[in-house]
Amino acid sequence: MSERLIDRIPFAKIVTVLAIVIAISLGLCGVTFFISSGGGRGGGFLIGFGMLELAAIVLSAVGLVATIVVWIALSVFDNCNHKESEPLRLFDDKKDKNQPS
Amino acid sequence: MIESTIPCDSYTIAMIPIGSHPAWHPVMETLAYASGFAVFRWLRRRQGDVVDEPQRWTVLAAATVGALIGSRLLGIAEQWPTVMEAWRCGRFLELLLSPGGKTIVGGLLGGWLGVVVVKKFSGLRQRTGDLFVLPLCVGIAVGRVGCLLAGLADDTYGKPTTLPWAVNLGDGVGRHPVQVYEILFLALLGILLTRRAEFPDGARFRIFMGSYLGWRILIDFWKPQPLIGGMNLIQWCCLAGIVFLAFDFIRGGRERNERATD
Repeated sequence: MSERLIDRIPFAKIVTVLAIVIAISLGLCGVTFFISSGGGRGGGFLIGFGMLELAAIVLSAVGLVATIVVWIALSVFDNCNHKESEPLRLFDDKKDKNQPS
Repeated sequence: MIESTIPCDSYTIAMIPIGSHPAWHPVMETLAYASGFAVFRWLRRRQGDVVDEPQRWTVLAAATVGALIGSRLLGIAEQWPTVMEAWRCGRFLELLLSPGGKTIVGGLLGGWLGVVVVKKFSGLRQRTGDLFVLPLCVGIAVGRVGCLLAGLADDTYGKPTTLPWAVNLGDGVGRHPVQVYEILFLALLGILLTRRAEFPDGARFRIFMGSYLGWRILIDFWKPQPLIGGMNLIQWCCLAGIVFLAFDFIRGGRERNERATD
């Protein structure tokens, strides 16, 4: 039997890694330097580093949102499919057990 | 009411981590994440886990995203005079993207809330926080070294004092080394909570949270922060967290009693 898509993709690991990348990128120094130097006109190593940081923040933020959306959508879809494939329960088992024999 | 005294042109300059001191903060922050995760992995291998690998990763993802959002939101809210000034100057996006402006309390509360929400939707019933206690103690302590080395550029320095262990952060004023106090507190808390004493599942994490939030309410009186109703915003959030913990403790007690009577 083929593995479900939601089990094949390690969504939780991807989300964790992307969130940590954003946290570290925000903590690093490049972006402020980039911003405070007037949008990268100053040149030099720190400006390049700042642009790298900005890219990391933006890409990981977009990736994080996209991954969470796909993860939730797949979970909901999977849940609906799972419920549909369940056999229809016509009788409540609990009640049956309580019935006097 | 607090009035902002920060001019439009200077709010980012105050946060520029150039120079020997402020640059230590991001370095130590990165080390804090790495050391916390290393301790977590080591502890999980050594002690085992109450949940399986995919469930643990789901909890970890919820905690990380919650912590990221919580720490950033509270960090920005804490600097609200600066935020208002940036908004007025049309530089809110720059402020959002600028480094710093993250708080540990926001991270802890946000991470905790994230896990509670995910557990509610996924139907996970086990208490999963105990394995995070020692990694959090180590990670926060390492991060606090960065706060100390960042000096006045970081907003976590202490009030002036004449005590013999006062630190000079570059302005010639002796200050309480509040970051060192916190490192010592975390070392003590970590040692106490990792002893081989019997704790019910989830109790270590709740004791850690209660102790740390209580500690922050106390220690933040030694930090020169803007006050609202006698306490700063972080202290109010700590108080809210403690109230939530108390309700959770009462609810847990009731559930245990019900299970015992069943």
